[in-house]
Amino acid sequence: MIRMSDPDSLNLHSPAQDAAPADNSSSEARLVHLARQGDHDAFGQLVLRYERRVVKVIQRFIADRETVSDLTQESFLRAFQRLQQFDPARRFGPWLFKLAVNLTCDHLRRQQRRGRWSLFSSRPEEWLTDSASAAASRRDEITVQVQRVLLELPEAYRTVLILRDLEGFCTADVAAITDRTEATIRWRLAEARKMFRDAWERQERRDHHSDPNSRPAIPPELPSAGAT
Amino acid sequence: MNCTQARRLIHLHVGDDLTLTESQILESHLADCPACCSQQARMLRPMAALHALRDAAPEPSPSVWPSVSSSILTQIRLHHTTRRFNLQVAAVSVCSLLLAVVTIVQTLQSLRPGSTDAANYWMPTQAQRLPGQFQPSVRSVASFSQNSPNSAQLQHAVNWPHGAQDF
Repeated sequence: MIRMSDPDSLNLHSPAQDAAPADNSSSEARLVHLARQGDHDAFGQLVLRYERRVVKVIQRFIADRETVSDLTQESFLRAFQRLQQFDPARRFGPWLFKLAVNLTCDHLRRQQRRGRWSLFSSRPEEWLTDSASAAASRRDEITVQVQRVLLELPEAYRTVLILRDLEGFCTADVAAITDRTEATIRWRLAEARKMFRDAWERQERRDHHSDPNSRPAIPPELPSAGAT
Repeated sequence: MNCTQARRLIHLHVGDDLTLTESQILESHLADCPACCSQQARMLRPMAALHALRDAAPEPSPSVWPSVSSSILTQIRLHHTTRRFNLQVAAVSVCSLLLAVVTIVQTLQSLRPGSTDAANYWMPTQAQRLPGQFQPSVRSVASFSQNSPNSAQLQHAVNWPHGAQDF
């Protein structure tokens, strides 16, 4: 175990290299406890455990890969700096995602302020990937259209919709991440879905008028159990 | 349940965000309300688009841990560097403080009225005076002149208004 009180003894190896096979019995609470005491490797295991999910969440807001990577690193750094403020009675995940979402929203606000005076602004087409497969290109089409519609929503509603419907967080987790009550989140979620539907229909009408064949193929079935 | 209440619940129902009781109440309303049923049908396509992206795997990206780890270590080293106790600075500070205290004490002692050096501080030299700027009284100067070794100089100071004609 490497302690922060002895910085010269630290090295930059991945904690997974030491502890591969990963210690599955080590609970998240124990890792957080050790990280709060200054255990570098324990925090590394938390990073490895959450980084893919954090990247995925930030990617929902931002297309640029470098920016996503920078924001992911910044999120973990901030988490490390504020570990002493974390309440161990709560779950680490929502706290971490809250930091990541706040950083991402701050970045978007700064970008928006700069964008008002810049000559070029980002377009939803940035979400397009280089994949050539048919399935990927169809998904890219839907991705672009969804992102275009999401950009029309106010930030508070967009965040709730992304976290609940794109990332699949439960309402309680969305409330914890956005620092709102669950009742507020339910109200915002209902409003956000209504706004999204209206914007989606407007977008479809526009696309249909410009090019009748441009409609992306969306699976007709609704995966949710609540659908009738 | 009226249609306004039902339509708000529809937006939660399509994402499976209702309790069992709420779902049952809504479904009984939907069974009798074609307008609300069509509202729910309008939600299907947009929700399907959202859910189609839900399970999309994130694009593979290298782990951020090496960079995060490096930044953390840099911060820790910086933290330790700034917190290291510097004995030289502390020693110089203490010496300066002692010197300042000794100087202040000596100055205060010499300024005390009974002190032999008091006249040097109280009475400016002739070259430092300006006409009409300072008019010492005979009584105040005489009180200092009793034990003063520079009685001739003090006597000159008493007569200073006449001596000021030198200027």
